[in-house]
Amino acid sequence: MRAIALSSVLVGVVACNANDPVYIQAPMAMEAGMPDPANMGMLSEAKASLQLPIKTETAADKAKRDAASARLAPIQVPYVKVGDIAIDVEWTIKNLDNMPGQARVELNGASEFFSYDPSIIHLSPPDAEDPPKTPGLAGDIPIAVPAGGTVSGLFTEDDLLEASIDLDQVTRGNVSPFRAVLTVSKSALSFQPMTAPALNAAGEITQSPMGPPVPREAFAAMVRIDLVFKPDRHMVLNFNVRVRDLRGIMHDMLLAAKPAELQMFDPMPYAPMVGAAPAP
Amino acid sequence: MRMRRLALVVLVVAGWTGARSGTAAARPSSVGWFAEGGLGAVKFLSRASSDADLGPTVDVRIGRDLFSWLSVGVSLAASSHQATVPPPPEGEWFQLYRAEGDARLGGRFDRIAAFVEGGAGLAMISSNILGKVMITDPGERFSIAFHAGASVQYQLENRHYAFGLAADAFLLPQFASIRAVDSRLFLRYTY
Repeated sequence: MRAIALSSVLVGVVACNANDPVYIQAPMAMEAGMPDPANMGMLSEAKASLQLPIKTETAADKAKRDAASARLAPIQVPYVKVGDIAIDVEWTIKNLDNMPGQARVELNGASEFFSYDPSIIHLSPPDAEDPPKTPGLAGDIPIAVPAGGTVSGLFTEDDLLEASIDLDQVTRGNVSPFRAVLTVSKSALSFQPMTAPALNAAGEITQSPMGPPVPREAFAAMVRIDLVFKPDRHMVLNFNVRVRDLRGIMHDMLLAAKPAELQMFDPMPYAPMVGAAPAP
Repeated sequence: MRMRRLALVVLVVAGWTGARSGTAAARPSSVGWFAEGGLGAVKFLSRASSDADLGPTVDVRIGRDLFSWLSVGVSLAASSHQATVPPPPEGEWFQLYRAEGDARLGGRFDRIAAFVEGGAGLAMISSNILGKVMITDPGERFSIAFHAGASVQYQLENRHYAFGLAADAFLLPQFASIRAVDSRLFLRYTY
């Protein structure tokens, strides 16, 4: 009886722990909105990245992942998968100017395979006039900030789930960023990888399916959060990342952990080149 | 008629004197193993008061009366608080769990009993949100807990049941020595 009571308490504590969030404070504030002399006096933007402090992969996890990779070959199964962690990003903007202004906060990031930076992704034909700007994964919406005032907001867990899947679709599946961002994929069970975008003889961009669909169990989660802060006045943005560690892979010491105890990820920047379509 | 009036006066006087002399015995109450359940609020004091709001608490306690003036027990308490650290984050909550053992000294005066109590145990915080204001260090989730306080309780006519009001101050040395007051209404059942 005593053992049952004790184990009930322990199960309760463990269950609570699995759902308890941890908060990771961004090491620095992002200050922007001042004329940038190096950029013809245009207003400065601030960029910041926060790598999640994830423990090194255990041998057991690696063996499990290798087995899943062998089963799903040629699809690679990531160490950190969608559903392993639930992330949200909370931010606060302070307007340091004495006039009201607007700011935009754009969310990007990286999985363990690829990073996504829309400023280096150009999908239009080289001779396109005024091509549309590649979108960020979330945000980039004007936010009114009163003079000297403060505004807070967040990218929710749902936003980050959607952004993680969009990132994987774009980077591993060559799905158009416009399509990925404008469709809701958070409940998707798989996505079909495509060939890299290429121009056909008519000057249109074409893609065709390539390889088997990537199942949800192999969707890569975001392991690095990138923010771009674009105010039209002098403002400062502070943010923190809230993580619910559903699989128990976050390091207890978070950013204070020893580097050797953290999984090093080396994502490759996703920067497709639009070339000529291969001859049929 | 006169006899009836006299009998009435005698009855009233007898009843009055009887009532005056009949309150000497204390209200009966059980002694031995007891269980308590309480609801109340926890308020952080001094430094932590600006970083965490007043929050609801629930408390259960099991104990045993060793003597009429001494009892020992163990308690589990959980309280939930909104963190009011500088944003971000904003509007986030955390929970504080405490498991403690304690001793009570006290006595009973008819239907009212009063105790002073003190004890020690372990506290666990559910998240690192107070790390932003240096109350918790990285990776720190547990602290020793000390508490001391007092309670009064009212014995109901059923000898097993009493209810009361308790207030305890507690100290968590590992969490930057934060202090708080836990006040609660409780119901006690003694077997």
